[in-house]
This record gives sequence, C-alpha cells and structure tokens, in this order.
Amino acid sequence: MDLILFGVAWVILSLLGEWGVSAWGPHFYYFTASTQALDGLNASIFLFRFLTPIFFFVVLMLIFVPLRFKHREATVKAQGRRARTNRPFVAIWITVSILVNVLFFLHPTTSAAEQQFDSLLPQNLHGALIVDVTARQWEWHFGYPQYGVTAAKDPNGNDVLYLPVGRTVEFVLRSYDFNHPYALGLDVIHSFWIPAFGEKEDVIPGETRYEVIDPTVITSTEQNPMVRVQCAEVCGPGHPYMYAAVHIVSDQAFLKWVAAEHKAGN
Amino acid sequence: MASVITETVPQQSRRQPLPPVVRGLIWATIGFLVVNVLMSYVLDPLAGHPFITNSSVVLGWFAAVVGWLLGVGAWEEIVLPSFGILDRSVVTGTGWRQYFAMSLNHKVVGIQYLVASTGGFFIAGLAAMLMRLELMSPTMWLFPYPGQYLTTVGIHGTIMMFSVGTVALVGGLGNYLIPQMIGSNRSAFPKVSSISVWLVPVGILTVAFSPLLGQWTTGWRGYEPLAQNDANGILFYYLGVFALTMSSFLVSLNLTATILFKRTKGMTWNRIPMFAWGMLVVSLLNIIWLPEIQMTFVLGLLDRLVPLPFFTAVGSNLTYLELFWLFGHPEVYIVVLPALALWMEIMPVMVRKPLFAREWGVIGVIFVMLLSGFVWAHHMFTNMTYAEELPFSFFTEMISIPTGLAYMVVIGTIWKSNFKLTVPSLLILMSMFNFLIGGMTGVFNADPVVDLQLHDTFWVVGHFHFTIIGGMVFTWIAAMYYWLPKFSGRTYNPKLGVLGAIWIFIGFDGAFSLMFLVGMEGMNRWVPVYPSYLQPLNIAISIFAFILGAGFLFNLLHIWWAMKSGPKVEANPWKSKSLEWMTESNPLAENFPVEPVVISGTYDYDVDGVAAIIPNPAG
Amino acid sequence: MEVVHSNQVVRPAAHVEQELETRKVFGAFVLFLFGMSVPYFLMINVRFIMAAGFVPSSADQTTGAIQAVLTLISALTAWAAIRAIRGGNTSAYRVNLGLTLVLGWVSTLMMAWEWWYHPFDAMSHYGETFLTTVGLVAVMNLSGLLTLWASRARAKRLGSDQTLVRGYRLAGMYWIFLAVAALVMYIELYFA
Ligand code: HEM
Ligand SMILES: [Cu+2]
Ligand SMILES: [Cu+2]
Repeated sequence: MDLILFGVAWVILSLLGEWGVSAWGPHFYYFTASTQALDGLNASIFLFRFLTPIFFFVVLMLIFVPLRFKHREATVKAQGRRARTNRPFVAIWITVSILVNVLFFLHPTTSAAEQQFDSLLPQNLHGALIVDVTARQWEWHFGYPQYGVTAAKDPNGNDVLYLPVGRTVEFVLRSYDFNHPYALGLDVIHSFWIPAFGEKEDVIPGETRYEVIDPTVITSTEQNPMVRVQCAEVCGPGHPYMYAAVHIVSDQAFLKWVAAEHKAGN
Repeated sequence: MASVITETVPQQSRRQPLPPVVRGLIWATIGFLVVNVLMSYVLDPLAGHPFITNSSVVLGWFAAVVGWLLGVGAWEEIVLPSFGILDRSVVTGTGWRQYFAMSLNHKVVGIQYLVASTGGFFIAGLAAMLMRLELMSPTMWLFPYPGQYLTTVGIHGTIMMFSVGTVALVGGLGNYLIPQMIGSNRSAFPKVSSISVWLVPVGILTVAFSPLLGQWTTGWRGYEPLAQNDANGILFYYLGVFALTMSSFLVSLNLTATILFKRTKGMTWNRIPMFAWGMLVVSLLNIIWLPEIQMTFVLGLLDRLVPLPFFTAVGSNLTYLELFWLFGHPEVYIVVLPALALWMEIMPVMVRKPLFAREWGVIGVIFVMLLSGFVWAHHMFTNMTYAEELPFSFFTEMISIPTGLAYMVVIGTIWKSNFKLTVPSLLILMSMFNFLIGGMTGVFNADPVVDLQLHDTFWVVGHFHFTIIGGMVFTWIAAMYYWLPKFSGRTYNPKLGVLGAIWIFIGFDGAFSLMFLVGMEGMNRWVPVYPSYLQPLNIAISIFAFILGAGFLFNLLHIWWAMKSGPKVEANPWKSKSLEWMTESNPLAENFPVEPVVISGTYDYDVDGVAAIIPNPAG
Repeated sequence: MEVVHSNQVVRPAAHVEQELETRKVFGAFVLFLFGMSVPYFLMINVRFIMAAGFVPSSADQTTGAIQAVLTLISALTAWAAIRAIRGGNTSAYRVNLGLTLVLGWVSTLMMAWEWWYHPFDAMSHYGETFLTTVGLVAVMNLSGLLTLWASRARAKRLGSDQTLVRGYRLAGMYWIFLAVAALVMYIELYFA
C-alpha cells in the first residue's frame, strides 16, 4: 500500500520534472553562440533527463517517510532479517546506479570527447581562422596572423575580438607579458572564457594551448554581455577587470573590420 | 591500573604561577622575538633592515608556535617526561579551568576542538558576509582594492576548509564520542590530542591575520604561479594551514589507533558504530594526504623564501596544481564522509529500526575513500589535453556509486519505520536533500564537455557549498542537537530548534541555488566587480546569505543557551542503544567506571534489551 | 562528581593489558611511519617530474658516499641498541644509542655542508630538488636525533622497566626508518 502510494507520487513528480526539463532545459545555458555551447547544452539536457527521476525518488523519500510513517508507535515493528536488509532493493539500487553511471560515461562523456578529438584533427581545421590570444596580467591581446593584424583594437584603443560567423576559429592561447618579455618568471595562469561559447581553456605560462570554436550567431558584447572574453582563473587583483569585447559578424563585415584595423596600423 | 582514575581527576601536586594559556602567550612572544631578532639582526646581511623579513617572520612563527605549545603545557606533559623527568606535572585546575589547559580527558579535548572550530566558522563566516556585501554592487564599494576582496575570499575558504571542514567532525565530535562509542575510557594516546588541539587557534589566527604581511589573491588553493607574484600574506597562509593540518594529522593517528586497539570486549568488527567507520576511513585519508599537502606547501614556501623556481612561471606550475588537487579532492571527502557516517549513526535511533544493509554502508565509505585518490584531475579539465580527461571523468562518475550507498542505507532504514521528526532528524533530512543537490550538480561537473562551461563559475561555488554546508555543516548542527544532552545533561527547546533548522534551510537553499543560475548566466569566481546585468541575482543571493548568517548565529545562541540553562533531561533521552549514552552526561567524569561488554549490535532496535552490559564488579 | 575506586574494578590480567598496549603502540607507530613516508615519496615524485633521472657530473659523490655510509652504520648501531634493550641491558642500549647519535649528528651536519657547498646551480631543476630533498632529510633527522636523545636520557633516569622498553625500542626503530629513508634519497639524488 505504502509502496503503491509512493510509486504513484513518484511517477507523477518525475513526469512533471521531465516536463520541466523540456520547458526549461534549453535555457540552461542562457545564451549559446557556438556549436560547442550547443554540445554542452545537449549533454546537460541528457543528464537532466536521467537525473530527474532519481532526484525525485530521493526527495520524495525524504518527504514521504516523515509524513507517512510518523508516530507508528508499536503498531508495526519491523523485525528480524526483513528489518535489516532487503535483497531485491539493494540489488536494484546498485544495478541502477552502476548502469546510470556507465551510461553517463559512454554518453555524453565519451561521445563528446570523440567530438573534441575530432575538432583538433588537421583536416577539420582546414581554412580555420587563427587567432593568437595572449594573456598577461591583466589584458587580453588578440592577433590575426593570417590577416597581418598584430594587435586588434577598437577605436578607443581597447583590445577587441572580431569573429566571422560560420567559420571555424582556432584560438592559440599563450601567457606572457608582451610588454615585459624579459620578465619570464612573472607570468601566471589565466583562463580564456567566452560564456556564450560554452567553453573555457586555461592559458598557461610556457605552454601553447588551443581551443576550437564554431560561432553560430551574429551578436556582440553590446547585445548580450555573455558574449565577452572573461578571464576565469584568478590571476591577481586585476582578475575581475580582465575582459574584452567580442563581435561576431558576417564575413563581409569581418573583412571590412580587418581593413579598418590595417588602416589604424594595428 | 589505579592510575586510570587519577589521570582524569585534576591533579593538585604543585601550584603553577601562571594560567597555561597566559604562559603559552608569553613563551610564544619570547620565542618569536628571540628568533626574529636573531634572523633580522644577526644572520641577515642587511642587519635589521627591516625588522621583520620574510625569513625572520617564518622562523619566528615556528618559534612562537613551539613556545605556545610548551607554555600551554607540553613542557611538563610531554617534553620533561620524555626525558625521564616525571615529578613535575601540570596543574590542570578543576571545573572550567580544564578547558583552558592541556587536558588528558578526551571529552574536554573534544569540546576544545568544537569551540575552536566554531570560532573559525564564525570568523570565516564574517568574511563571507563581507564578500556578499561587496557583491551587492557590480562595482568596488566596500573594499577599496580588489586584492583585499580576494584576500578575504582566501581567508574565508582556508579557515572554513582547514579549521571547520576537516576539524569539527573529526577533532571535535571524533575526540568526544569515539572512545565512548567503543566502550573505552580514553583515546589511545590522550597526550597527542591534548596537544594537537592547541594548534587550531594558532592556525586560525595565523590565516586571519595574514593581511598583516600583505595581500594574497590566490584563494584557498594557493594557486601557483600566482602565489609567487603576490604580496607576502601568502606566507601566513602556508604557515596557518601547516598548523591546522598538523593538528588534524595527529588527531587522525590517535583516532585510528583508538578504533583499532581500544575497543571494549564484544565491540567486534561487525558491531563498530558507523561513525567510527567514518572516522577510520577519514583518518586514513588524513594520514596519507595531509603530509602530502604539507610538503607541497613547504616547497611553495621555499619558492618564496629562497627563492626557488619550483612552481613559478619558469618552473612547473602545473605540478603544483596536480599536487594540490591530489590532496584537494580527498580533502572534500575528508569533510563529507563523517557526515555520511553520522546520518547512518543517528537515523536508526530516531526511527527505532535497525540500520538497513549495514555492510553496504561500510562498503560505501571504504570505496569512497579508495576512489577519492583517483579523481583529482577533474579539477583540471580546463588545463589538460582532451585525451587525459576520460580516466578522471570515469572515476569521478563512478564515485557516486559508493556515495549513493549512504542514501540507500538511510532510505532503507527510515522506510516503514516509526519516524520521529525531531530537530536532529529534521536537520539530517535537510542535509540529505542538500547533499543530493550537491551530488547531482557534481554529475554535470564530472562531464568534461559541460564542465568546460561550469568550471570556475559561481555554478561551482554553488556546487561545493551544497556539498560542504549542505552535507557537512547541516549534519554537524544536527549532531550538536542530538548529542546536546550528552554534552550537558540538558536539551534544546524543540520549537526554537525547528525554527533554527528551517531558518538556515531557507537562507542556505535560497542563496546557493541562485548561485547556480548566476554562474550559468556568466558570473565567474573571484570577482568583486562584474558586469551589471548580474546585479539583481547577486542582490538576492546576498540577502539570503545574510539570512543564513543570522540563522547560524541563532542556532549557536540556542545551543549555547540550551547547554547552560535548557531543560534537564535523563541520561539517555533518545533511548539509544549506543554505548556513549551509557555514560554520565558530564564531560568531566570518567566514561565507564567498569568496562562495558557489548552483547549485541548497537542498532538492533527490532529487539528489546540493551546492546551492552556493565559487568557486576562483585561477580 | 563520583569516582569509583579502582580496586573494585575487574581488569584483565596485567600481561594481557601489556600485550594490548604493545599492539596499540606498534600499530600506531606503523601508521605514523606510513604518514611520515609520504613527504619522501612526494620528493621522489617531484624530482622525476622536474629533472627526470638527471644527475649532474659535478655532484660531489664523495660527500654523498661518506654520509650514506655513516647513515648505514647509524642504523646498525640503532639496531644493536634495540637488541640490547630487549635483553634488558640498559647500559649497552645507552652506549649504542650514543654511537647512533654521534653518527647521526655527523651525517646531518654533512647535509648542512652539502647545502652550503652545492657544486651546481641551485636554481636548476636538479639543484632545487637536491636542496629541498636534503633539507627534508635533515629536518626529519633532527626530529630523530631529538627522539634518540630523549630516549637515552630517559633510560638513564628511569632504567628499564618492562613498560618503558617499548618506548626505547620505538626511538631506535624511528631512527632506522629515517636512516633507510635517507639512504633511498641518497640513491635517488646521486644515482637515479
Ligand atoms: C555562511 C555561509 C557562506 C557563504 C555566504 C559563503 C559564500 C562564499 C562566497 C561568496 C565565496 C566566493 C566565491 C568566489 O568568488 O569564488 C565562497 C568561497 C568559498 N567558500 Fe564559502 N560561504 C559560506 C560558508 C562556507 C562554508 C561553511 C565553507 C566550508 C566549510 C565554505 C567554503 C568555501 C570555500 C572553500 C571557498 C573557495 C574559496 C576560494 O575560492 O579560494 N564556505 N563562499
Ligand atoms: Cu587572467
Ligand atoms: Cu584572471
């Protein structure tokens, strides 16, 4: 009887929960502007789907039990082996938890890792836009070696990142102080993060690291502040100020911007 | 064995001129001044210029700690006897004075630990309130400089982790309860715990006063190579953590030996209380990983003092990250395993049913302990190659299986039970709910493709506070209410207790669940300044955080009041079968004048009768 | 406060208590050594991360070798001391412990020399691991020397009661542990 009551409540709650996942899940990342962010979002929704019934199972237990079994003084007293264990329950619990975890490891973890491996293969980087990203305390600095732009700046002299929509971008991440190249020992770790791209990679002194992104939406920091470069690893007092504006534009607009940068001598 | 009893009764052999704590402070001051002067005037080539240098303050600090420990009582209790001079014993005083001296009574030590930990909790809590105040505005307004805010974050995290998370349930409840639970009158090495507790205030104050030496912006992880670029406050971070981890290391040795070798007759392996299992696995983790992080921090310290290039930008900074997280992840299980064990300890008493599937609960904590050494690099998904992600992701996902067993055991226990909703059981339900959220959000972090977005955002801040406050702090408070009658022979006011529980639940869940959202919306960690579109959520978080802070204070005052003047209760108000409830509810008394003999499991609530008997001395 | 007088208490026979006490002390000692070995493992680990198996040709093999031999002998004398005290011979214990102390001090002071006179760049990856590893060994040795000293003084003042012998043996065993660790570190620094 208790079991049935519990089961019905659980199914109802889980269904409501799944409806919630469908309705709210796609907004989990708030705003996505790259295929990588979409991959992460889809993986998250997949996880939500499976976690929801588990979550409600436990939560319902924590609420149902105290309400239902309150003050059962002396009426029923579980006794003997039955009170101490319940083999089917234990077996189901352990099997389900192993299965769910193996599933999660296969998908989304391993399947997404496959995609990450693929993204770095040379044939998939053919024609990619290369952006040199240099981090120093506390500034992001962008260069476009294919276009001869060494220091991308907006008219006010702030660092700025322009990306053409629909073209694969390969960020080349390095950490050193280009103003004090002799002070090698002073660099720290930063983390290159554009929230709308759904991915961040650390920028580490002495290493060159890569991040591949496919921007999908024309947008900019002014339109949505999630489209900004933000340092995500603490790097000293200037850490909160270590951001830069991002513009994702059409191909033509990108070329126009490159020309303007050339004219400005950047 | 006549000495058995005289040891716990205060000795009055000699008058001591100064109270131990005062003498400790004087000796510490002398130690610091002597060594500091030696370093900065005699050995330093730039004599006396300035008075306090990096090396003089570090060595002076060590001298001060030695002076403090000796002055507080280690001189008579440990140093002289180990040289064979036995005739000078300390006067520990009677009554409350015992709490201000080295004590060989494990219950006094337990309370000293709990008080020190609570002090750390509220100092670090104050820091959290300042952070939340600052974050109500997207610009700098409370702190003049961002470095000060970041120092506050570091002080908060460091004191919380090393003086509360690792200490309250182990040094505090462990010392207090474990000997009683296994039917012993004392811990295995009373002197070890009696001295280790005095390192806790040292560590807390050292970290809290770190700004005296300058800012440090690395947070509680002392991240390299940033730590080498910072001002000198980081020195006191290394030293304070050294004192605190040393304390936990010593306690762990003592507790492990106590559980292994001090069990009374009949306290067999399959009757050992769950809390003792928790203490055992946690102590083993401490014994391995605390020396590891201490040595790592010594290298960090030398990087600054000498300076060596170990973890600097031209050294290998990722090595530091690996070494830190090798300790750092077991650390979070060190924090939470005792809490899982306490759920399994307290719930059977509350619901009058035997512990369900006990062996699986034990297997669970043991496997969490084993796996915890294989997951560290999930903190480093953003700085490893893609190929390295998979093994760490695998172990991280798998560790949820043994962790889940604790839920299985508790759910099996409370199902069809005779559930009593009391303040402790309510708080444990809340703790289970909160830790569930902590664990489920962790599944997202375990998946690299998602973690690359979540890492270092407020999502993570929400996640780990849900595991630590939700899992450990709620359970700690539950345990304080549960064992209140044990501590004092008095109990709490149920209405106020429920109010306190609901209060912190609302404050906590409000504040930290919104942190998930603000993190997803693009708020990164360690920022006193942020884009203004994030302000509304931050204001809401801060308001809930203040409610939470006030709620903790309320619970503290309530527990304090209950200990001093709450209603008196009988010796075993919960009708527990556990051995600690057979003892007198007076911390200054001997536990078992006659050693008890355990005759059945301590969770066998399906049968009447007691779990242990006190053999008749005459027979 | 009630205190029950201990003469009413039924206790296990004295030798059983002693047996339990011995198991407890030695069990805890093993755990302690387990923890104490971690820093050495960490230094081995760091050395191979930082400098792989590199040993500079300028490394002063003579100093290293003399020091290693002294350490080895000190472990043997410590072992002899343990044997002596198990046989109840306090004076032989003190003599052997005295030898251990002298050897230990000499080898530890030689480390100070190694520190002072390191024939390679202290800022190199080998150099920094060398200096810190030697430093670790020296600091741990100092703790061992203090223990030996205390133990020797105790043996002089209190003699060799059965309950005390355990402590005397532990001091010797702790030194043997430190000596073995120092030898391993020697091999690692000068040969690996
Ligand atoms: C009183 C309620 C608490 C509040 C309002 C609070 C709030 C915060 C905030 C705002 C941060 C800064 C996050 C960032 O910018 O990275 C933080 C960090 C942290 N908190 Fe708490 N916290 C509380 C209690 C605790 C407790 C009880 C613990 C552990 C026992 C804890 C452990 C930490 C740690 C380890 C950090 C990370 C510090 C770092 O980044 O170095 N907190 N907390
Ligand atoms: Cu940065
Ligand atoms: Cu940063």
